[in-house]
Amino acid sequence: MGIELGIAALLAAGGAGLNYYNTSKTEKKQDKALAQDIRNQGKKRAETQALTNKEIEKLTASRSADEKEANLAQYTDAIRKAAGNATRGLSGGMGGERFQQDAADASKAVTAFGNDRANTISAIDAPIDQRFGEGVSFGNLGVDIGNVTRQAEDQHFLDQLRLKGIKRNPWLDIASAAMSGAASAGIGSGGGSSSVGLPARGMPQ
Amino acid sequence: MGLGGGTDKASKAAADEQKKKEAAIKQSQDGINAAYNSPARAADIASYVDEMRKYFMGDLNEQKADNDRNMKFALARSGQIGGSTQIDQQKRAGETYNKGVLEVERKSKGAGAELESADQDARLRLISMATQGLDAQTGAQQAAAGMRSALQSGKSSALANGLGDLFSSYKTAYDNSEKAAVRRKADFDAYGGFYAPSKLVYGGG
Repeated sequence: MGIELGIAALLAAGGAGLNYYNTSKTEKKQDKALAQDIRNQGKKRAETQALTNKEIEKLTASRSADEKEANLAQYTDAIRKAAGNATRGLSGGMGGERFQQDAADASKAVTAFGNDRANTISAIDAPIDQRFGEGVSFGNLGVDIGNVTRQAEDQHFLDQLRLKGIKRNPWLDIASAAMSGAASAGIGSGGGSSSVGLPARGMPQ
Repeated sequence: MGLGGGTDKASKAAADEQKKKEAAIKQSQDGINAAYNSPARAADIASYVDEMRKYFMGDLNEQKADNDRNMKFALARSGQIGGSTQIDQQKRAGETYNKGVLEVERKSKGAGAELESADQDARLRLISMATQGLDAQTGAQQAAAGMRSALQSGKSSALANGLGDLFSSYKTAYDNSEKAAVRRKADFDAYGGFYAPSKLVYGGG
């Protein structure tokens, strides 16, 4: 009787131990997979961070001088092309020497006015154009971050699939259930029969 | 820690990632704030306001010069140089000019404020983007869209409206002085004097 109960207790403990081992092993695997998922998401977040930092560097270095230079070149070119029309009536051989000198001075003044105005307008347009450029760059950043976000979502989906795929070891569960069942049967029979099928003493066979 | 013990890799990874994320957010926020609060950017905006002022003051001074010239001739035509009318007219013209100077200042400062406002808007959106991390795509697109819409309104109001014709109310007086001069000349030519006979007396005979 004592031996059978002892065996039953050992079987019960063995079954519980096996169950515990299986649970623990599965949890560790799941924990590891979940940690990997979090780290993978962290890597993707770091990628977006790097993109953002790059954008901040560009923003910090952003000055309107480049835009001003480009605008000024265009506006000055426009003034140069229109110079003939702008100074018409101020050139030609008519009039005395004094008139011709005054007309030439006036012609120069017209061109100087055009260039001065081109300079002012290009300076006015430059910071606005600069911000347009920055806006376009922010848009590009949004697209780039969107790509990383989609990669992160795909990675998360795969990591979650892996996580869900981590199951308990069925063979260990079967063994554990069998041991527990045998132990229960041994204890339930009041020691009349052991869970391993040994004949019970004092009982009719 | 999980049931099996040692299953805290995920929570450690999550804690590590959280720390990294918070550090990255702070770094981004500091970088974005530094970019938008930089003295260079403030100088750019101040230069923009100066150029705007220069542009509008140029227009205003041209208008004033034209008006002074027209007034001088109108007063001369009417024989009112050196009279109280000259003082009244020039006082009014001076007041109009001062109104124009204030309008120039208001427009220039307003344009600078629009630029600053666009910057602040973009700054907040970028910070929001940096905080959201992987969800930043929307933030970046909003920043780009916000920048564009703010600047479109800014650019349209910056130069398109201009100062307008501030001295337009004087034009009627100058036109009238010209008409009066022509009428006087006609009367003089017809009747040999500046005083034309009254229509009543003339018609009553």
